[in-house]
Amino acid sequence: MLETIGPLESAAKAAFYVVAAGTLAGAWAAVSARNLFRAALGLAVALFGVAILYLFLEAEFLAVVQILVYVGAILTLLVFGVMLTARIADPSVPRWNGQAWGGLAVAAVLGLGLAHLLFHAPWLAPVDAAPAALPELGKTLLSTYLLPFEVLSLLLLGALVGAVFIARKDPE
Amino acid sequence: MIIPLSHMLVVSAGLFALGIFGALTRRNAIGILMAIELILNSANLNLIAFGRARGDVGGETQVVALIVIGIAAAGAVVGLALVLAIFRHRQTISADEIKLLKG
Amino acid sequence: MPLLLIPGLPLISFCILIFFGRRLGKFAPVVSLAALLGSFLLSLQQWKWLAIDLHQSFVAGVDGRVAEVFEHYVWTWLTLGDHPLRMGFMADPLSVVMCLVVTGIGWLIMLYSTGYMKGDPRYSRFFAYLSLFFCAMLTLVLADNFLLLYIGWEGVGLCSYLLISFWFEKPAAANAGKKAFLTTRVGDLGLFGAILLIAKITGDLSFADLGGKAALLGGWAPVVAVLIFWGAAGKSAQFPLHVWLPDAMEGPTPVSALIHAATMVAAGVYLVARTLPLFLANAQALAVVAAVGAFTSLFAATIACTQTDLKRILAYSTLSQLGLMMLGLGTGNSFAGMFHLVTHAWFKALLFLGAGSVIHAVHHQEITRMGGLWRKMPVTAGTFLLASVAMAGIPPFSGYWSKEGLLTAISSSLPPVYLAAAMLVSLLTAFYITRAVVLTFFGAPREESHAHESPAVMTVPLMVLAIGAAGIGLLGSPWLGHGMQHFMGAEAGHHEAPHWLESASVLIASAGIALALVRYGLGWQLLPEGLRVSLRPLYRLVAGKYFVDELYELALLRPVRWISQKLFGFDAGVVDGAVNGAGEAGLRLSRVKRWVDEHWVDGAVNGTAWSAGQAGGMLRLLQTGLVQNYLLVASAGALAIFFILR
Repeated sequence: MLETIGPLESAAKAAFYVVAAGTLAGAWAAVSARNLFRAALGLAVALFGVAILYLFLEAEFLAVVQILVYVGAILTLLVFGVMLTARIADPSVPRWNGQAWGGLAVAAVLGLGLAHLLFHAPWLAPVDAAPAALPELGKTLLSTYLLPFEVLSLLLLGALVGAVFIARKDPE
Repeated sequence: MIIPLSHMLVVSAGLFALGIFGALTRRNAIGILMAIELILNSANLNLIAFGRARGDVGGETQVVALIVIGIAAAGAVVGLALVLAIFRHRQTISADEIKLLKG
Repeated sequence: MPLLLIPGLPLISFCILIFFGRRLGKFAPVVSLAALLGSFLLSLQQWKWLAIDLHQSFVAGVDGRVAEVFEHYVWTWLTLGDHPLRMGFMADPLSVVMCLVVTGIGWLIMLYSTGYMKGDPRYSRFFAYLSLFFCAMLTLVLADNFLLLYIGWEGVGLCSYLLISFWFEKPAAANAGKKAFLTTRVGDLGLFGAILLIAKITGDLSFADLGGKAALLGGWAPVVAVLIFWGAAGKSAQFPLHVWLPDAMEGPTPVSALIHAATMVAAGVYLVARTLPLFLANAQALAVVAAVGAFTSLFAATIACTQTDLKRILAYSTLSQLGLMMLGLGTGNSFAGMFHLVTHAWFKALLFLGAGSVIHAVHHQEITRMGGLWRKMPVTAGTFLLASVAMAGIPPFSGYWSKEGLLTAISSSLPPVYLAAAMLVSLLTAFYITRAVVLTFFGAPREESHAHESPAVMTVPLMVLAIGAAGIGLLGSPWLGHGMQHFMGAEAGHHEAPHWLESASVLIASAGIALALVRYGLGWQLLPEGLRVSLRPLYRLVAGKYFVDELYELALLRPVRWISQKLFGFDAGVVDGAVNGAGEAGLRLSRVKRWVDEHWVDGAVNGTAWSAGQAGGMLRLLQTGLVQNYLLVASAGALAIFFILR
């Protein structure tokens, strides 16, 4: 979307780094906040950040879907779950289990190793292609990928029925 | 594309690592679900970034990402239902208090 | 599409009857009769189209047909690599004539069966099998390629087996079915080999351009033709594969009439007629057909003169007539054989149904114990007599015309010895059938019986068949302008017969009848005492059916059985001995082992189990039951693998 040179380009770059930092910060909050509700808020920031990153990648439709489905639906569901279960804000409950340090080590090695690889990998030169337009996307989704699309709708139906079945009160 | 591919991928890797960390260490089951959503998001971001860099014929990568989002939603729904069911039975959703798999 | 329905309707009827037959009860025949009537009408429609085509060519003054237009329905069955396997049904004159014979006579016989089979515990099953038979037979007849024909061919073989051994409680019927199935299978092998050769060399299995295929086959052409004839001989019971047909008479009589006289056994003749261009391409193959046909014909006719079982007489007569048809085809003129096939189907079906009616009434099949039955069953006697006259070849009944055609063809294109053989067969035919008629229906009753005329459902088909048996030959007679020859595309009057032939054949037939009347009607001994005594061994040879069955028993079955017994002995003595010895030795050894086991091995085993239990107890500590714990270990492991492998 930003095909200019000079100041605008650097402004866009700066914007990207700000958004990226915000996304990662939100993600950190989501996995580390003591209060689960705050964790949910952090997750919202992270998901919203990812949506903006999609805009940087010129995937506008996906960005909209990201906000609608994740922020709008999944996050709301998670917040409901948080509120329905007790002790969300109890400071006496430890945030992490006994393997916090082990987990941290694995995650750190993973993240740093990946970053190292990414910076040093011999990437192929980017192809300068126009991003897929929305009509094109729609055609692909409803022609080539029609079967996965329909299967997905069945999966969602199954998940819905299954969730209702699991979560309802046992008839006694 | 003005943002270098590797920078976008590093953000994705960071999200992934944080998600793994959360999934490994969170006590609260809902927290684990949140971490898993982060992992899925990082995968999607990765996919779109590569698609943008290497040409995305007909928006195929976006279509795959859409399907992943749909599956993630289904996963979240079932996961939450499980959490609620466990909570009702055992009055806790702390993952380290659930040891049904203990041999 | 209507073509598909001709074999399709009986198939539908079969499916209905096999699944719901029991529930339909005595209404089961209605289904099969309706289906077959449909097939008959559709065949009639095909005939009408062909006749219109013929008429147009006649009006246009063209010799032959305006266009070879007939319904031809083709589809690709499956594709093997680059070779599409095509299936198709076609209704050319040959097929249509066969269709009309099969469905027309078949319908009458089915109607007759409703009366004949009444009270049978497997009533509906019988009609299901009949429907399946019609499906297979019509597929065979309408097929436009060897493969589909072979499918139908095997189908009719299966139905023949099922129907011969329909009363499988009788060991004789069960064995006869087995014998028929195995013997015809020997023949099928020949046809199958021919099909494989054709497919391999020409790559095309359709019946189109058989003359060109014969050229392509080159040196293989006689082999293929003889293999096809070998298959046809199995189905049409030609020597030496004829042994199954007389035994097949163990089946219900309508089955004998339908399958083993009128239709299925004619399939071999039809096959040779259909593939005649392959035979025409080489004289040797044609000579084989003629020779085998003539031999079988004469051979079976002599046997028929000595039998006393009514159905067996008719069975050998069928063999003889089939031989005549083959002889006719051996002249290279397909019409002569096919025409006799059509007329024979009518009068032989009638003879069998008449015999069935008699058997139904007196409950046995020995003509020496019958006699004088015409008073008690006039309709049966009248129709049987008519059919006999037709078969003997007395003008103007149907057998005369077709036999006349055969003799003309033989005299014009084969050596005189064949004509002599055919004449002799003619004489014997007239003789044995008159003998059967006289002994069965005339003279004084030789045994007390409570015979009575059969019900209308059985006599009406007899009467309709009698009309056919009397009149069907006229279609090919000069009186109706050789209509059938025109229809089948044969050239009428092409063969100039010697003028004496006509009168000679009538004379010979009359002589045969007269001889039989004198011998069995008046009871005169025809031969002087001395000659008869000296001929007795010959009579025994003929009456024993030339001991072909015994020969097979001696030459084939007994050696096989002997080898089997020797092999069994080897098994019992040597192999079993070795096995038992090994077992004994094993037993001794195991006693020793048992001691070792109890004192040494058990201890080791128990020790192992104990240490495994201890180790498990320690490892158990690792299994925390915490999913996240597992996940941590798994991720760490994945990372470790990554670093090791990079």
